[in-house]
Amino acid sequence: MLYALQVPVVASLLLALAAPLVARRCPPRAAALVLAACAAGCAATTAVVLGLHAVVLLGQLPPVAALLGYDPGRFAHHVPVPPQASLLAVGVLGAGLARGAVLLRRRASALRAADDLCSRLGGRAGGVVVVEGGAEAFALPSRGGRVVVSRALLEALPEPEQEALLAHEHAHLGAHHDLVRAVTAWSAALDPLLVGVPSAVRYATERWADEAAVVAVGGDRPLVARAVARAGLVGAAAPGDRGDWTAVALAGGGGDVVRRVRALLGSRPRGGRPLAAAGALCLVALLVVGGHAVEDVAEVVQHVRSGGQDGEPGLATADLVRGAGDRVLSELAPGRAP
Amino acid sequence: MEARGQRRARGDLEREVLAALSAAGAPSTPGEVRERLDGSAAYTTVMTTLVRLHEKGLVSRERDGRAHRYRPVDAAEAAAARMRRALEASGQRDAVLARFVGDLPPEDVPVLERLLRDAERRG
Repeated sequence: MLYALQVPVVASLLLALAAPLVARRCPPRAAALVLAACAAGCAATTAVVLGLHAVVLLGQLPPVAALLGYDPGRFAHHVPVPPQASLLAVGVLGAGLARGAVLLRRRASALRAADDLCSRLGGRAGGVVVVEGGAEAFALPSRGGRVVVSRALLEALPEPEQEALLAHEHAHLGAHHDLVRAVTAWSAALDPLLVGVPSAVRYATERWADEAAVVAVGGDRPLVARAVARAGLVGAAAPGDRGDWTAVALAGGGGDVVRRVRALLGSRPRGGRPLAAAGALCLVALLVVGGHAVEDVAEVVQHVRSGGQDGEPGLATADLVRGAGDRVLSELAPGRAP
Repeated sequence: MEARGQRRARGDLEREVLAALSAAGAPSTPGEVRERLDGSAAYTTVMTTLVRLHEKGLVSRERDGRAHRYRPVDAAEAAAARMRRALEASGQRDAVLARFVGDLPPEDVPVLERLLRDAERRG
């Protein structure tokens, strides 16, 4: 169990190293989904393994041992990790959960503000709202979703490019990119080793929406390229005149624009299968490691509770869960025979 | 527990003050606002609330002699300002929304112009 943390740590580090490359070279839809899923997997496994340390610590407390009916000293003897390590692990988990909670609160307030703005701007769900000021375009996921576009930006683009822009934003809404980015952000909050994965996922979702816009406008890649390039130049040309949206912390770094236009002027990305397979493998490995760690602790608990006798064949975890279930059932319906 | 109670009261007061300002129909001084609130709040409380609302961008003010006259900001402006603040707080790393294009560093402008001409040739 002490070594169970190695796999998620190594996986997180590898993911952090690979993420920028994957986002740049691999087909965007596969890249976004695989990176997000693996980030979530790393974070979940890390949380489970660290959480087990909390379980192990709690199990050594005399009140808990008295409640569950075993000798805390024997438990401590059989636990394969020193309590200091467990305390450290619990501390790390606590810090991660705190970061996640802060993130949740900030996003909730930002979403509430976006929701409020959405209701004031009006428009119908899934529709387009044109605002004065700024040279922005973005998708608001609240209340059925809306696309918000600055008049200046819209008027700077010829009509076909306007269609491309709107198709891009609608793709964000339809594929729930805000959720994909949120999952990645929370995973990075829990697992701080996932450095750079959220921004890689952000770039990948932009490319994904670009490719979806290409499909929507009938496969005209240079058209979408022109829309992105022109929008970037419009924004750069009038930096002082952004109105209310100037300081709005929206994602989308500058270096991405050139890369996106180049990618659109290149050939269609194809073949996300190898990446999906690699991602699936990573998730399976993490699941196995997590399950193994849980089983280790369950074995210790079972060993101690059974008074040192060898456990029955089969998974200790399954036994414990079954035993707990039986106990709960007998509490709820005392008359029934188990 | 106590802190939560205080915060709730403050939010209520802000709402009441805003409502009083809207009802007034013309820019009002803190004293006039306090009168509209049936005098239950202290003058300093009303003034502090107005200052706070002004910092939040929900009211604007103009000087009138030695006092300030406050009026509510346009609802849409206020909503946009609120969103701007909330999104500023959320920061770049965990930004809730994604712009169509981000800020362009100045050195990228000629590169992008060249790429645009490229794309126009192919169009």
